[in-house]
Amino acid sequence: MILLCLLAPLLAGLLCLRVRDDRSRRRLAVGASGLSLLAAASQLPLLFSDGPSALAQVGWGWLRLDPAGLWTLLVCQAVSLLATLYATGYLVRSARDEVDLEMEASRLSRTPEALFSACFLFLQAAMALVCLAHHLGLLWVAVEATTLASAPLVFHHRDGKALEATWKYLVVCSTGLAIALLGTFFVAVAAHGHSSLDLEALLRAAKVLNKPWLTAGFLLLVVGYGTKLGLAPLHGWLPDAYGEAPSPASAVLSGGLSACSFLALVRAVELVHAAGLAPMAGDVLRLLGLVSLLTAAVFLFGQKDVKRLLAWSSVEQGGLLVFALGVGAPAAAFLQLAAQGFAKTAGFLAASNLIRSHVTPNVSGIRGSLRSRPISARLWLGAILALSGMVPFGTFAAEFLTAQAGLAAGNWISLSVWGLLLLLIFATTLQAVLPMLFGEPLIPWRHEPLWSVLPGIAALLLCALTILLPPFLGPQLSGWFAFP
Amino acid sequence: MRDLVDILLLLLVLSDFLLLGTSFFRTSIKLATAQGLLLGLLPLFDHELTARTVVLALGTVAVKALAFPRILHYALRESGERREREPFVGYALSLVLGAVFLGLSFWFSSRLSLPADAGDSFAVPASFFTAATGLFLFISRRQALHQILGYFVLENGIYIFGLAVVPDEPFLVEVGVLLDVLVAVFVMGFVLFHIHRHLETADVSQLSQLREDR
Repeated sequence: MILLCLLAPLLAGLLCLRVRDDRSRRRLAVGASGLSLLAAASQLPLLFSDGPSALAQVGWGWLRLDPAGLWTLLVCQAVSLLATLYATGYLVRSARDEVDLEMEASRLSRTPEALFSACFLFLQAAMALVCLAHHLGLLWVAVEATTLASAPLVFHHRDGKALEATWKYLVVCSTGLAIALLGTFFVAVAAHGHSSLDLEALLRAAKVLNKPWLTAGFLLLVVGYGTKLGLAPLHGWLPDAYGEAPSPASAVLSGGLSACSFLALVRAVELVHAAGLAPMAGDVLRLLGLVSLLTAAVFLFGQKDVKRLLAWSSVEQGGLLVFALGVGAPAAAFLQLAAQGFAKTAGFLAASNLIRSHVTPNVSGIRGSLRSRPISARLWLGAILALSGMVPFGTFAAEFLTAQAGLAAGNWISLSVWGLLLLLIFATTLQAVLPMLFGEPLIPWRHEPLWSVLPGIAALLLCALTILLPPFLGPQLSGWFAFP
Repeated sequence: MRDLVDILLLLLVLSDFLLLGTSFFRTSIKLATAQGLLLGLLPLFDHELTARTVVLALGTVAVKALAFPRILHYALRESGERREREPFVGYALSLVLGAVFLGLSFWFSSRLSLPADAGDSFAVPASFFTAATGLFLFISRRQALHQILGYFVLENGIYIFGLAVVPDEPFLVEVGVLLDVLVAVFVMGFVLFHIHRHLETADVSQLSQLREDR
């Protein structure tokens, strides 16, 4: 059943390249996304089952589903479905606009749309593979596959800027992942004679693994998968890629793909924890988290581009995720993962509406949107508040749990820096966002079509619902975590 | 057999040096193709000859020595440029640095405590040197093609490291890695093609529209 998550998008993606009719292709994409979300949801009992090491075997040997994988899978699939629904209307609009603008362009735009839909689906399949892979080698293959499937999405607009963003995305992420492959081999050396790269076998043999090789392997894996997650100082590609990709793709990149990269990182952390190297891992993760927060705070200040604003916020969220892991609060990290994924989806979709209606990507070109585009503007505000960790969103609970765990572990210094940076980021973000909402509207009011607002509303609702989750985040998501 | 493997590795190191010293695209692609061939031959002599190693060797040759140069030549065909004139680091200096990398690779490998069956091999320093060469090409060249080659050589180095120290890596994973490299080169070639069309040069340092303006 769960294999449907992998196969449905893969097959539908292949079909998309063949189908000529736009309408049936769009339906196919929505159907495949919905089907794989259902398949993932059918495994929900796994999250609530007793016993700390619930694990479901899925067909093949290295494809297994554990609570952390299922959690990430659900977030990815939900974000993908919402983005696909939005993309359906988005692509209709794009096709129509181009007909209006230039006949030539509309003829050319046919192939890119098929490629866009197909790569969107391939990306979903690759993300599902990341969530299911329980072999470090296979995990690497899957993460690299996500990069390759998403590069054509970033290139969708096919102009100079998109080209530059795609180039940076491809070469920086591929090189980062090459380093992760080296890290994977280092772990294999550490496990030489004791275990293969099978995750469960590694965890069982963790105590006897060669410590220096494992430490080196862990650091390389953090660099590699951290590049993919967009942790500073390895984030160079991220603002460009998120900024230039079409908004539905940006939503999946920041909501779903970053969750997968984080899961890959969690696998490495899981391993060093089992091997008794938790303090070292904690130091590295806290440091990386704080550097990411600091970088985001610097670049969010006076940010002029709406989508880049969200991209820098993604760097911030990546920092929050690894920081939560670093202070020993994996449950908080996973809660943050879900909440921020939904919030960023809502953010990118609302930003897309505002950008398209105002015909400018600049913060300064959007004014008084609460009156001209009331729903999108409220969605945008909601998403920004959610990303800043406000009540009633899950991010609030996650940050609260992080602070609690940090206090319990006695990480006073890093926790105070963390809090200070969060405040700073909140202030700078609001400074940029508030003028977009208030004041004299620059464009007349117009009715907002349902397709453009419903997916965003659903994403924001999901983000709000995640605040109810903490009581259910029992040992299933954090059972593996050995406190130092 | 051991000697033969060492000769192959020596040729690999040589090709790294030639790559560091050449400015012509065609020569670079030829050298990378030669590396792909060497990589395909290595497992045949390094491991026992089974169906698995033969399939892997064929796959490696198909991807790294056949598909790779074809895709790059295709991507280059609209470009008028034949060589890279002004890399960030000059060719003479690159060669000197290459010698330094080689020394460091040997020194570093001698200090590692490797598993017994990989310890005495020349493969580990050769792999580190190849990876370092790749990374260096990647950061020291302006032209998109040379950056792709840098990535490719880096990947080669890591592949040899895996071959030397992780002999029992599962078949499926190796095939997966190979497939990823194929698609990566394909996608990069596709982007390279568009860079040529768009900029009429592949100097990627001219891709600088996107930045934080303040």
